[in-house]
Amino acid sequence: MSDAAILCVDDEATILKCLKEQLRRCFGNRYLYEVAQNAEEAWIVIDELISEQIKILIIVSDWLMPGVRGDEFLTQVHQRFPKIVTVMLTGQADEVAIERARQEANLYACIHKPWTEEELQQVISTALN
Amino acid sequence: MFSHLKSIHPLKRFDRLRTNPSQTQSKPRLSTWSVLLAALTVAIVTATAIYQLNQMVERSNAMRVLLLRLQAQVSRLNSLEWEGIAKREIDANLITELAENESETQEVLEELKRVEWRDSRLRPLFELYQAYEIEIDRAIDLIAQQNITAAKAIDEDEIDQIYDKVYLEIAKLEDAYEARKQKARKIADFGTTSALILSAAMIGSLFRRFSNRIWAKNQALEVAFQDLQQTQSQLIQQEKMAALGQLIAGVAHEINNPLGTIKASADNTHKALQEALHELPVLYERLSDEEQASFFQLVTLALSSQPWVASAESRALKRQLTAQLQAHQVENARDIADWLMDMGVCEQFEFLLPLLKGSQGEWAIQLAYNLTCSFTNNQMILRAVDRSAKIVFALKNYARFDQTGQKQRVQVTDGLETVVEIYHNQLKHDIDLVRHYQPIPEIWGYPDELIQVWTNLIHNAIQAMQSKGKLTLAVHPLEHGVEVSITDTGAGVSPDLQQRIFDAFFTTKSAGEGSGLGLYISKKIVDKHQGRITVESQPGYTKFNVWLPVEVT
Repeated sequence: MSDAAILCVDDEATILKCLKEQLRRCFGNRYLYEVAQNAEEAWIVIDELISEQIKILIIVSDWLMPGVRGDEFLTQVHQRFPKIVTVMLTGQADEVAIERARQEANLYACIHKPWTEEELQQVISTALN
Repeated sequence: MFSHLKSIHPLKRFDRLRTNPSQTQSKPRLSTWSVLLAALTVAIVTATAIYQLNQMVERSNAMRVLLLRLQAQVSRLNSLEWEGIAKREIDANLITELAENESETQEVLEELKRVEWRDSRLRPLFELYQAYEIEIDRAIDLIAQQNITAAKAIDEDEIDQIYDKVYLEIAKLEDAYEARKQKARKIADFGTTSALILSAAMIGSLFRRFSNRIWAKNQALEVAFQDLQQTQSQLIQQEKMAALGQLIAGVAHEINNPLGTIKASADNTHKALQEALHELPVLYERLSDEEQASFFQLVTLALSSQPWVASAESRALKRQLTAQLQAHQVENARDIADWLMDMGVCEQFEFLLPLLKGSQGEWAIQLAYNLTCSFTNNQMILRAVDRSAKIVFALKNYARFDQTGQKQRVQVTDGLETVVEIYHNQLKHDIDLVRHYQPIPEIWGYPDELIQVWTNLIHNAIQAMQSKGKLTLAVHPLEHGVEVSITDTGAGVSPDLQQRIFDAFFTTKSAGEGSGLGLYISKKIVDKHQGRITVESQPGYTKFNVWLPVEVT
């Protein structure tokens, strides 16, 4: 059983379902795939995974979400877990927020909606190698 | 669309405003002050000259009176002398009268000298009078000595001669003074007339100059006013554009989300079916009859189930399922549980045990997932298309530019719903949207402008609540019209600010967030519909009421 996970955060359930399906097809059983609909829920999932001693490798987060926005969430993640690779997935290119995430969350990449499976696969593969 | 806004740069307009007055008003050759100074000088000079001339006229008059008095004195002296001759003596009475005459004559002479002391023309008269007086004195002396004949002789020869000369001299002087008086009067009249004409000309010129200046100022004011009106309508347009720009950013996100879903889902279906079609031929070889029965039961169940959405509950269920599978010695229990949850299968799983415990368990689950996921993906695609179509429809309604400028039949709730749709992504999470729509008649109005009013009010409400709270939209018929109430649970507007919120450029929002035109424009639009907009507010409750009549005259 895998002890490494990829976490996706987006307020749209359908987006999460698509992401998970794509990741599972690309990477199979190598990783666990977890999803959350907002930052608050994401923290709960992170804590659960840590308590199960599962290492989180990558977090892919939407930017425009209710409550805490993507760049802020990824920054908080980066402060607590500097080793987690942060990726943003956004339907609205807010250059200022992306730049802020690049500097403060060490953002690895920003994927724009609508995205392709190849794009996602490439980003995740290169980030994990 | 923005090009006309850029065509007149604000700074250039201000330049035009600044340079305009100096263009319309030509630069005067003389300054107003120098004209005023010249006018003052001319007035003083003229007044002094006229005063001098009047003095001269008065002096001439005085001289004439004095000369007449002198003439009377001379004649009187002559009579007194004749009286002496007639009486043949100089009696006491005559002496007194002679003395009086003399002193009075001296007085007149002194007066003449005093008034015209510089006038040399008087000298012959004085000399003549002196000679006359000497001869009279001689005659009187002779009368006193009773030498009447000698006195008479003097009288007839010398005195009469001098007397005539004195008279002639007086007449001559009188004429001279009269002439001088006439001349002075003419000059004074001419001076007065000239001064009046000059003053009129100066006043006219100054008036012209001032009215030119006032006209130029009026022109400048009019230009400034027109510019202000233009600027105001541009600001209103810009406000609409800014609101639209803000919305477009949100809408881009709103459209890209369903697009992302559509693209990924279609792609996922495609790949899943490819994989499934590749695996299907070996299905019967790889699975036993019991496993096949279990497999097809899973497929049937998955087709009629909805996948679990990520939540605390679904995670708990997944953990429970994982534990149960582990209890049945299923390998990769966690992954299997994950697949099953995504197929919406978690409560009854016992029928799956033959399949899961077999060697092909994971392969079969994956195949079942690939076979069934296209249905879920299709549903998601259809929902995403519906969602996109709704957004596009709302945008079309919002951005519709009514070129006819004609009133139309408007169903007010349609406009409200358009705005709700546009703000969907801001409303869907933490704002509880409540609708109280009663059946209302259609009204005559301008639909796109009314949408701008609802946009402003709903946008303000969302901002006031900081995207968290309850937004109530109520619509009901009222007094031959309809009333729309938009209520939020935001911080509220204090009573003193309630008076001012409809003013242009009044805003309580921080710089860059609001232009201060939203409510001002809303009020203008409501006024145009002959309706009314009011606000009632206290902390945690703000209600905007907009009443619109059915018919606009």
